[in-house]
Amino acid sequence: MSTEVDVDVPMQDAEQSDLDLELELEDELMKPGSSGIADHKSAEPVKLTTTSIGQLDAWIEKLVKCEVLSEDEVARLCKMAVDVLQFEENVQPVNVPVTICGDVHGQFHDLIELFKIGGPCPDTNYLFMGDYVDRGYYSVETVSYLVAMKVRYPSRITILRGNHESRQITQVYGFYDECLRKYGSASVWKMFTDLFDYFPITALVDNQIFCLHGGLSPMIETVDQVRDLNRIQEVPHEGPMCDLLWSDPDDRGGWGISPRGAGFTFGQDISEQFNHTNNLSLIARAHQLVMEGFSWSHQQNVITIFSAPNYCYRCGNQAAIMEVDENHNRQLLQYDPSIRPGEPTVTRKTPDYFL
Amino acid sequence: MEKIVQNTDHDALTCKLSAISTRYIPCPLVHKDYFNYNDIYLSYYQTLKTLLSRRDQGSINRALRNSYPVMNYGTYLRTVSIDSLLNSYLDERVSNEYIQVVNLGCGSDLRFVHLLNNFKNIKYIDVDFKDALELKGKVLRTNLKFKQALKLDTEIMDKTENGSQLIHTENYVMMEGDLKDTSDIITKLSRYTDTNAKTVFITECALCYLPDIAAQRLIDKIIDTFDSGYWISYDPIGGNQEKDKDRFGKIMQDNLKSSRDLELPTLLKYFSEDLYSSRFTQHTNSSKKITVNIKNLWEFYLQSINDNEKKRLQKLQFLDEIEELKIMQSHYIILNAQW
Ligand SMILES: C[S@@+](CC[C@H](N)C(=O)[O-])C[C@H]1O[C@@H](n2cnc3c(N)ncnc32)[C@H](O)[C@@H]1O
Ligand SMILES: [Mn+2]
Repeated sequence: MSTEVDVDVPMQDAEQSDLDLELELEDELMKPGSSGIADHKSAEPVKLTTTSIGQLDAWIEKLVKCEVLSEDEVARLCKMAVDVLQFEENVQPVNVPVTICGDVHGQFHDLIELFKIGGPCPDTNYLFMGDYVDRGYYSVETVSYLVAMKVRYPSRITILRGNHESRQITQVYGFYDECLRKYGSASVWKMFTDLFDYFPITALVDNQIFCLHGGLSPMIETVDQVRDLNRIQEVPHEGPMCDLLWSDPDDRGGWGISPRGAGFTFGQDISEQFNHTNNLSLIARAHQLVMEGFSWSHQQNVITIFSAPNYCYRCGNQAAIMEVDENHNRQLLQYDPSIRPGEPTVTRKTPDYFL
Repeated sequence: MEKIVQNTDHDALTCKLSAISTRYIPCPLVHKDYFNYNDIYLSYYQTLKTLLSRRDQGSINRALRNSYPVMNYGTYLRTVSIDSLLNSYLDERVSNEYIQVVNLGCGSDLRFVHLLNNFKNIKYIDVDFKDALELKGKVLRTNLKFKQALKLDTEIMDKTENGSQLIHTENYVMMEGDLKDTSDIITKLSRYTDTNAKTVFITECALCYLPDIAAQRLIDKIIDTFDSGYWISYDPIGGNQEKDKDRFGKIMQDNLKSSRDLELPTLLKYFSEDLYSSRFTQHTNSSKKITVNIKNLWEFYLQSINDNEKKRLQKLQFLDEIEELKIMQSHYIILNAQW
């Protein structure tokens, strides 16, 4: 009697079936830790051995050509990464000079372009502010590469968590499907999403620049309060950790309801107060597409940095990264999409436009 | 070439099914009198599937599975902007007047089912390429629900199209033709409609596929031929490359050209709201007075969707990509022109 379309959610009785689906995901996929990558965590930081360095270099060499690792290799990489990231702090201290980068979103070739513009890692230190996966077509390669670099050069590169480094969001925005497509099962997705729980959520550059993916939270007045959070968990739907990954600065003062459905908007008064209270010169954040690749707001109290040029292969925006040198001079570098001759800009069938 | 353009109908249908499955549409306000909205589209798709190649089925299914919130929002805005214009035009007039509705490049659109059900005093003409209409006719005939709703047993047999799948009843006509062949279109329209009666024309992503000259000729001829009309058009616009360094249209054109060889001949020519509406106002060879309104769909979202409805939409999926929604929607327009 009921008409159904071949989608995961039968369209009739949508209420009922949505519920079923959610329960199923809750059971099967959403359970943190089910991949086992964190089952045998080391009690103290592990030093890289010659063997592990050789192994990592081989993986990096493969990944830089945009080739994926095998499932088994991903498992080994994620285990090594847990043992690096678990010892990082909620507010990870970072030294200058460092180059601060925003969303990458699976645009692997543009990430390679970023390293051309900013200089190769580890010669240049990098700080990425999250959103490595979803939307672009190479989330697996992008996140594998950045994690491999993190494990290989732990003090040279910092990778924060974005709101897309989450089990729930990646099921809507593409990383989950990409893993299924490239590995034939959800296990690689499980490993990476289990690993995401360990990513630090903010960084502090030389005690002056507070870096995070989204923005401020009405429940957080001091940087120390961030240190007190228990971050090793799925990104919650609300509360301070959620806000840090979801909020946006706004022209209106005070706190506002976010149009995204999570986090808040915060005004200049809030940013000024936060920077003043914590002796900061700047909040650097990502999360929002800005046409020039960067955008100052709140009278230079906040900068937005977005590092995915021509976002989703159709938005026409530039990307940017921000270099901070030893003397705290800041320089913004803009760039356009990498040109890949012979490669179509759009490769999949899903309608990206309204036709 | 024709096939490539016709295939865009799969995209339009897929987007609509996706927006239905995620409950963006029907809109509780604009579609409140549209009975069985979901059911009508789902039944249509069920039957259509049995007639499609495996490849086409597969690509529609895949697209349905990963449908992004930005796309669902956009489809919602497209559907709601057109239907609200259509409803208010018809609501005002149809109780005491006979009105004709012509959907040019109708594809799989099923608006006529609701309109014919809701308004007794109208006649509806669906226009598209022959192949496209034959497929649509076949689906409607095969599916009992439509057969009854459309009263297909009272069908008028059209001598000229004998044996074809095209449907022709008292108040619903499938008219095959190439929109580029203006004189043929006008001849046929004159056969199926009364050019003295008030007539609504809909072009929902249809003008954008026509060469500039053909589109202009079609607009001019229709305004000339019909005494009194109301044109509703939804289309992309390219944006101003020079002034705003806006690359959206150029990228869209390149993407569609390289991925599927699809051309949008006027996207960069009528790249702004003003330029797009000039196609309707520049009409000179008649003394008719034309009033044109146009806005982009981002403005429509901000101005015409009330807070409750915005809240309803926000609850359906996380919309992480609000900036992207703004960029996309400021490059689509909804126009109405009345003469
Ligand atoms: C993107 S679809 C839109 C379908 C429908 N209006 C909707 O929005 O759901 C474009 C439709 O226009 C039709 N079309 C494009 N060029 C045409 C032409 N020259 N003559 C007749 N139909 C045409 C195509 O066959 C296709 O069905
Ligand atoms: Mn984000």
